Amino acid sequence: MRCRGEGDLFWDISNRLGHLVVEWSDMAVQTQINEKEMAEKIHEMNENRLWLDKTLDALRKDYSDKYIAVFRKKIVDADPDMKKLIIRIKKEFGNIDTIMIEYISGEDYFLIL
Amino acid sequence: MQSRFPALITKRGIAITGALQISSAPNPFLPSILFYIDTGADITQINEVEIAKLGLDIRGLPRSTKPVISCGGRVQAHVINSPIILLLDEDRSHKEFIGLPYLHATEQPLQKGQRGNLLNRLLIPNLLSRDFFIKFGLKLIVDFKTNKAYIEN
Repeated sequence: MRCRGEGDLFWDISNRLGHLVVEWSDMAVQTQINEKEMAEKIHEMNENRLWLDKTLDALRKDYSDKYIAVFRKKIVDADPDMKKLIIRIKKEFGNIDTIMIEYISGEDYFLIL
Repeated sequence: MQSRFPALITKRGIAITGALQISSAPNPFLPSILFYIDTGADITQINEVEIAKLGLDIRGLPRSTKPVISCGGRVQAHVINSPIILLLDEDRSHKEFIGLPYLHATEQPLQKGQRGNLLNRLLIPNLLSRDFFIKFGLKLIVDFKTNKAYIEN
């Protein structure tokens, strides 16, 4: 299903055409998106996030002031330089879609945004 | 039809993982991207790591026409036109959110060779912000008692 913001020209036109355009678009997208695979990757990413939350304090000992790369709830690489880390994991893994990169500060902090 | 998209309550905030489609990127479909929900932020944004995952060079993207201010001060921001954000609902069927005019991408404040302070080195999180909620008429429902959060349309 496509959700469009109000006032979109495309949306207005498609409404006038009896939703034909939207229906066609839905069919086109359904062939591209593998929802099962997407769900698995989302689950994996969420698991990485929750694992990182739980283990963050313990990780400070070994990874203080470094960027870490997390894959399937394991740290696969770390570097104080984020860009070097990305280049390295891209070389090693190729596809880094589900790798989470996070900075581990030496001490805990409160964040206000 | 009403849809409900489950979010995650994490140590650093309420997050939702979805997918991102940028037609102009070499790797146009990013199947998992974790956004923090920030109703205090004006614009939806992704960081340099996600830009690298899409196969783009952030410095090659057009600069934002307006200054972008983060808690550490002004950040260098770029824009990507016509992003599509996909979320999975409770029934695990995906919904596409099309119509945000652009997505901002922010550079990591730390410059090459600089050590920087903590603020410079923290990754600016990917943020799903007020523009997204307003554009698509969405609601954010959070219950800290039961540790459950949702986005609903």
